[in-house]
Amino acid sequence: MHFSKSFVFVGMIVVGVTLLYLSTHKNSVRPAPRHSTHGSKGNLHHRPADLPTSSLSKQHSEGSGPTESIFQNSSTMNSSSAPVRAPASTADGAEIASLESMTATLSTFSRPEVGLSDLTAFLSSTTQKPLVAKQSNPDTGEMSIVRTDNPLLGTRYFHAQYFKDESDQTFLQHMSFEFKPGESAMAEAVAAVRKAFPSLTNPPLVNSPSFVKWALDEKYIVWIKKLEAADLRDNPFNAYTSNDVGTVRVAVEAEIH
Amino acid sequence: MPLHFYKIFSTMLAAIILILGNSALASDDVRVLEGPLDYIACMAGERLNLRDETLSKVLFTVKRHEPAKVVQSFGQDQQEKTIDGVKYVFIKVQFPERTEDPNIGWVAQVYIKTKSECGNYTEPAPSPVPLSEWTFPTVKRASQSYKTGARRFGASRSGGSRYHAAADLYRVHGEKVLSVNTGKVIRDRYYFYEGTYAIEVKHSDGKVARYGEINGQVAAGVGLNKVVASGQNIGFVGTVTSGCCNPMLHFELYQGTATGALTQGGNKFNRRSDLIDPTSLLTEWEHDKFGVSY
Ligand SMILES: [Zn+2]
Repeated sequence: MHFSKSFVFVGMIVVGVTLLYLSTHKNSVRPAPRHSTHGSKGNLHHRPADLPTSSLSKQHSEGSGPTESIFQNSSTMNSSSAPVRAPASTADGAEIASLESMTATLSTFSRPEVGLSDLTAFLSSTTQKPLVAKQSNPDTGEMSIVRTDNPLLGTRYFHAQYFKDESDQTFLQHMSFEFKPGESAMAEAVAAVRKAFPSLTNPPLVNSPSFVKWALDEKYIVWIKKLEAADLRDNPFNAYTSNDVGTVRVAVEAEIH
Repeated sequence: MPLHFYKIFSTMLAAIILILGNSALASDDVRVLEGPLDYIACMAGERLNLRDETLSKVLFTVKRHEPAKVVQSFGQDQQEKTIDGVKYVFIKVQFPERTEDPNIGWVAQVYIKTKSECGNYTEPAPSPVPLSEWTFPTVKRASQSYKTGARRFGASRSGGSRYHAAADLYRVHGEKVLSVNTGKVIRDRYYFYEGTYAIEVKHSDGKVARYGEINGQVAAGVGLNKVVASGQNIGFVGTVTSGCCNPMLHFELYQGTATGALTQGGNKFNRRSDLIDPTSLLTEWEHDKFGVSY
């Protein structure tokens, strides 16, 4: 049965990747979990344990208005802040494991037998806090963008785009994530792709120091790109700083041109 | 612990999960938004502080409903701070329209929401606009004919297994792309192909155009549900990364009689069933605008 196969397959991948992830992260420094940028019911599970309910209520009571000092210049507040960890220039073991996990995610969830809900269930089970933005219009239908609020260490800006066709079937058009800059980031990403996509036995269609591309099958391509300032600056979804130059994007994408 | 252990163990565990009816995977912890991923500053007051990394210094204040991007930086993007007895979670946010340097700082998370989540934000409804004059979508003639080679509509792709669904108008990277007529933006920029983007416009006669392989830069005044005029700048020429071809506008046109995604299976163009060959219309518009045509 189609559904059962999908079910078994996704189940195995979810557990496997989760275990691999946990095994490689247990001794690593994790950033504090990111929290949703809104106060929906589902996200209250993720509020910091030390944040009292009364504070939450105050934060969310838009009607009464927020406290003064959060909105006005007040540079004399007396509180301690968590230190900010600067990203290292070279990926460590945990970050390589994240790269491999995310590349495996691209491989698994670009298969025709798995869909959007399988992807979000997986991302949720690996604590990546997925969100789905559904945007539809009467003409070109529904596009669902999947992002995550809590990416794996060393990766960021996971992004998947699903569309509905004329028969109301949902299909994947694009799925990608970014890996931190580093001297060997491209090589590490290429190695991760080769590991996660064992069917890529043919040489890449394009193989340059800043861009590598394979034909996955007749419908999809896989590519890795070292991002330049313009790529990053003009991205409508992601923020940009000049420190980001050299970030590597790994993508699976419909062969559309 | 060796990797093979995990493989074996994960297979066993997957079987258990299946027996249990997938309960371990079931999750309601997926945030679903109805609308685009447009983050804004959303608060009751008029202004919100954006702070530096220490949270002690205000870099600048942002206005209500100012566009924002939530930053993910490979490291820690969250801090907590107590202000007037209230503990806030601060996140890193960029305000891309700000000219201040840096325009990234820390903002209380509860005040950064998508437009659809922001209770006091109302998207202005676009007014219908009558059809205007048709015009060619680039500022100058295409540098090579869009009727020949790999650029033409129907050109062979992937060894003949599929056909090209657009006319490729070769121009200069970053040059303005123009709307071919009045219309409404029904899908703002999304990832299209090899680092380029696409925007979809429903024109006033019902045709739908996809302006593909543009770069990600926003054109002034253009966004989802915004009305555009004939000849209005709606994007900028992009370049696919593989170096297959010159910077271009990949121009697709649809009759507007079908619904659903523009890309799909079912034919050798891998496009919606009402795809039309835009070549003759482009020729007409090109002649009207430049006095000559390919
Ligand atoms: Zn094209």
